[in-house]
Amino acid sequence: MQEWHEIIIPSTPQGRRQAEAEIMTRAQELGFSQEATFSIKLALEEAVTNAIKHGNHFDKTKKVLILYCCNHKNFTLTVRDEGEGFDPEKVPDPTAPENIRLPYGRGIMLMNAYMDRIEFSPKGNEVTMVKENR
Amino acid sequence: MEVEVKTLAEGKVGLVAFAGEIDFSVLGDMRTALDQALAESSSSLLVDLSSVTFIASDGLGVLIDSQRKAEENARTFDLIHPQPHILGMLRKTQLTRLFKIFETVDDALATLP
Repeated sequence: MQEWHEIIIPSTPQGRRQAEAEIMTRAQELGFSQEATFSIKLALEEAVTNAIKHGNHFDKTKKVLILYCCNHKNFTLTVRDEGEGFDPEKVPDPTAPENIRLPYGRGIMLMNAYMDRIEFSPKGNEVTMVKENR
Repeated sequence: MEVEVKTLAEGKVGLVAFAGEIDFSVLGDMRTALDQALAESSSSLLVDLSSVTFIASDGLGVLIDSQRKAEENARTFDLIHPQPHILGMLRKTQLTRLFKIFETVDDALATLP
């Protein structure tokens, strides 16, 4: 049984950096490739930014919960906010011609593109992502 | 993130060279540097990404917004030599359809009228 690690951060950029440093260190210790480590870092950044901005609306009284579980083959990350949630299916395709010039809306697409598996909770305020070390 | 802003070609070109990680916490500084270069240049804005090791989607959004401002002010907006994993992001998001990318600053300058 693998152990889950828990990090709770405030809805501020500073809190995110500390969590990111811990998770990146763990991925490197486990021998994840440079490509896989970049993917984990990017997915974590996007998920936590979404949680702070769109989930918690920068409310400093609200927290973001980060859970991770890892071994030499897989790195699993869960990010949960205290927001109302959303339907990821309703997020417009940022590569569509009518959206390509919009300066936002690429986070979920990047999480999908760089992680091997990604799943939102039914409420939509929690995302779990897996990166395999290949 | 570190940033250097300068002008080239007798003030025609504004060059912004970013280095390090562009994440959520540095977007304000990024925007300020790009706006400064836009104000100081008369025909073109170049953004050197060769020393950028990480950029998240919000950073890409700032580049898109800066390109829009450049076009509104009759200036071109081009990127210089993103590292392979950053170039990969630009390709996955299909932003290579939006941005012209040059290998070097000199290559970009050579295309100026």
